[in-house]
Amino acid sequence: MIRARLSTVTSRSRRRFLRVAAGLPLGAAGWLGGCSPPHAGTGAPRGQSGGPTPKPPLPGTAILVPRVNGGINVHPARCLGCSPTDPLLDPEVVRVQLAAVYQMGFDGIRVTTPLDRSNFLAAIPYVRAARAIGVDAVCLLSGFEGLTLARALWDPNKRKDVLKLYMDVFATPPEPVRPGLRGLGPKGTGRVAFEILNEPAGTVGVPPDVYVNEILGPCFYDLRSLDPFAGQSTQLIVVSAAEAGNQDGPPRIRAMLEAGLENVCDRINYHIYDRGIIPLLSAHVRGIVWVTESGVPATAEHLAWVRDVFPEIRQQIPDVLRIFYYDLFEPAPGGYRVLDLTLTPEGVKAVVESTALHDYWAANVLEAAAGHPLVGFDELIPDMQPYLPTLADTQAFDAAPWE
Amino acid sequence: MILPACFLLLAASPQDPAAAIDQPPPVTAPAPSLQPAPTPPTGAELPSYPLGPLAVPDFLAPGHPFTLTDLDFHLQDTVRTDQAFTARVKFKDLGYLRADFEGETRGLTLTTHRLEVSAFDTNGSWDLTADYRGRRFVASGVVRRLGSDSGRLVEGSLDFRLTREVELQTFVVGDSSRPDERFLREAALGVFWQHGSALETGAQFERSYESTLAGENRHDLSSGSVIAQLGAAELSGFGSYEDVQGRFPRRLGEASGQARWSVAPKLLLEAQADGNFEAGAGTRSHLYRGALTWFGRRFTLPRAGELARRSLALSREAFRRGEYEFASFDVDGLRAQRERLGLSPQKQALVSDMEAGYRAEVAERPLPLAGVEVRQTDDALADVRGWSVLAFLGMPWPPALPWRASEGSVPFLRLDLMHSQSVSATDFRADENTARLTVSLNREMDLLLRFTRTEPSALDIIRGIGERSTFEVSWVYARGR
Repeated sequence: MIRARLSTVTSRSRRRFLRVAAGLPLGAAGWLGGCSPPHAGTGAPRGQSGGPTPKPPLPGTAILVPRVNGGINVHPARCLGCSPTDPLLDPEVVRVQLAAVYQMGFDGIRVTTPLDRSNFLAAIPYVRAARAIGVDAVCLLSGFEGLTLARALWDPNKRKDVLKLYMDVFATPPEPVRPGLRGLGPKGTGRVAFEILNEPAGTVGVPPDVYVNEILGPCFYDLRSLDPFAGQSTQLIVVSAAEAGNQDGPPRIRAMLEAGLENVCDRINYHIYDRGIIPLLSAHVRGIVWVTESGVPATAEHLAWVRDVFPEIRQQIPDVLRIFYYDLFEPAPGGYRVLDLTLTPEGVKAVVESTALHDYWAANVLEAAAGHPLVGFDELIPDMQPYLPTLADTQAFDAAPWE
Repeated sequence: MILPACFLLLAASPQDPAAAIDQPPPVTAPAPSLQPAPTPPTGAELPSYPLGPLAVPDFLAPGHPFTLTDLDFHLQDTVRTDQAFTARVKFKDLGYLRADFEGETRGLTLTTHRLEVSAFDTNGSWDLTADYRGRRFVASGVVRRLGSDSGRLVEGSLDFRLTREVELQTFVVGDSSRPDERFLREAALGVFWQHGSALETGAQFERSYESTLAGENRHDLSSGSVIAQLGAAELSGFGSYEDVQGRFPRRLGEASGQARWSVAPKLLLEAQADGNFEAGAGTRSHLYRGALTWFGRRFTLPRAGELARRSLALSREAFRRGEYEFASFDVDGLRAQRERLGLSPQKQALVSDMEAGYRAEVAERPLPLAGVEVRQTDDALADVRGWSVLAFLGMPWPPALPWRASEGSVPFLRLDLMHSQSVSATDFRADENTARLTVSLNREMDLLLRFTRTEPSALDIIRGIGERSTFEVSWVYARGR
């Protein structure tokens, strides 16, 4: 998955608006309700969050949206209706999607951070703003096309420079938008994770053992040496690439494991698009497993997939601590996406396409909120400007010698 | 006790006098062959080659004191140049001495009637091998050191001839460095049955231990193979089932089938399908292949003609006289067998069968003059799909257009052109084009020139490898082939 170029979006279909663009405190479907203790995002599924139990807030006190629905894939869309070569970055496109992530109660996003200038810079506000509100960000180091990034990560003369660029731009923790975010990164912000390539056999032609020995292993050790938080609980998380979520995937994952995958990453990664492969994926690995992509390409089946298959994954693969739904938004209608984005005279709007799944997630949030009013996204981030790429970001990118 | 008795009765049955294998008589004259063969071609029927006529070799001629029997040279020039050189001589009538040089590898091999020893060295890695070929068994041992690692790999095998047609096979492999605290790495038991020239079948069970960075895997592999000549078709098949136990257990299967069918006296049709499977994960890889070859003279499948009967007769007679031989059906196997038997004390009794076999081999020489082959492959593990097409055209000797070849013609020139394409990553295509010219100067001497242009695969590009050209030259001399 994540093969299509998603830097621009042209879909204009109109469905039920999610009222995030209007700046309302919360979205549709009646999410505002009574009070309950806030639920901290830990990367663990519901009921498995770590850390001390927070003090319950006073009745009527507004709380952050409980992060109870796991993670979700977000594409680094830059603008709606613009051409693929247009370097424009519309902050509204970023804001609407991140608002949806926050309001739907996700504790992490996974976003592609390619090594082409426009899309690299476009990913910056997604990662920084998400972390600033306590949401973890998994940066997928993978290109939408070409072999440039894979080549750079393989090349001993370029690898460290490229990884340093990613560290400087994406791993530097942002300032939290407010105290008490309860993220697991520095000062309660969200953590950052680097996923080294995506489905390497299928996307860049790298066999499983070559991936582990010649790309992931060297990247892991270089990232450890670059990480100022190495050895601390807030250190960068290195996530291995997953393999295809169909029947081809389990043998490739097994080949990675037997080539020493467990020794050169912090999270082992699966993709699951076929229910039949769950028993084939290794149930007891030496490490934590994240499923960074799972979904079904039919809107009508979204809810059943999340409600029935996600628990099945957790039950059959006990090492799984986090599942990222695929995906929040993509141009093609009726497939994986939960939302559509559309341009209106008032600005960019999010339209719920997968209403049943959306309502399911909303109900989870309401249940966890236990009647407390919820803090709106715009209260946390009234302006996207502080998270947009800076001059230093562009200079760092332009100075990196990977070509 | 009943079963061995039955075997004994069969072996000693009057219909099969050559089966008395236990006490080879000290005969000096050739014993009657099992299957009376037609009169072999006479010397006058031996063809002429570009370098002139080639008589039936004297298989018993001793070296004087050294006589050159093999001289191979191979040069390959691509991003670097590699050379390989092999020379082999016969020393009097005691044996053969062979020297190999290939890149950093140096090797010496000594072959006598029953013993073969060899030593190879590659930058500190070395192999020492010894084979003893007895009357009823072949015992082999290898000691191998890989790199600077202090461990030694020790391999031993024993093939035991239960009957003239049935062989029991065993081998074990140990590793002195004891990965996962285990010395014994592999052990296998198998059986092989060569029933005449029309049927060969075998089965094997092997247990092996594999050390991975994720822990040790135990592999139990059961496999079987068969090759049968049925009328104008040769059918072969292979199947295996592998149970892998370890942290990541799985069950794997492999199936392969091939058919070669002489659809007309000068036309051969081939089809092949191979597949690897995993329980629950479906097909892991496959290969499909089809080929059509047109010959300039009548083509005979290797197990279907006079050569097959002669080879079978020779091997049975040799076995009866205390030599551990099975019938061979390919040119190199037949030559190696003749060389072994040429060192035997029984050589005078076997030489006429060897000569008859050689004449049959020459008489049934294939003369491929045009053909096409198509392959399609898919490897799900590496996610690489590919296909290739090969076409060739030959010119016979005496020089003539392909369709003017006669029964007296021999191979002379052959031009092969191959185009292959592999697709990996997200539809990343890499093409390869090869042209190969083979010049056969006579049965013993070939010159081969090959040029290949290869586009990089996705993995090549990631590794910094670009488009490349490869030029190869090979020269082969094989006396008595």
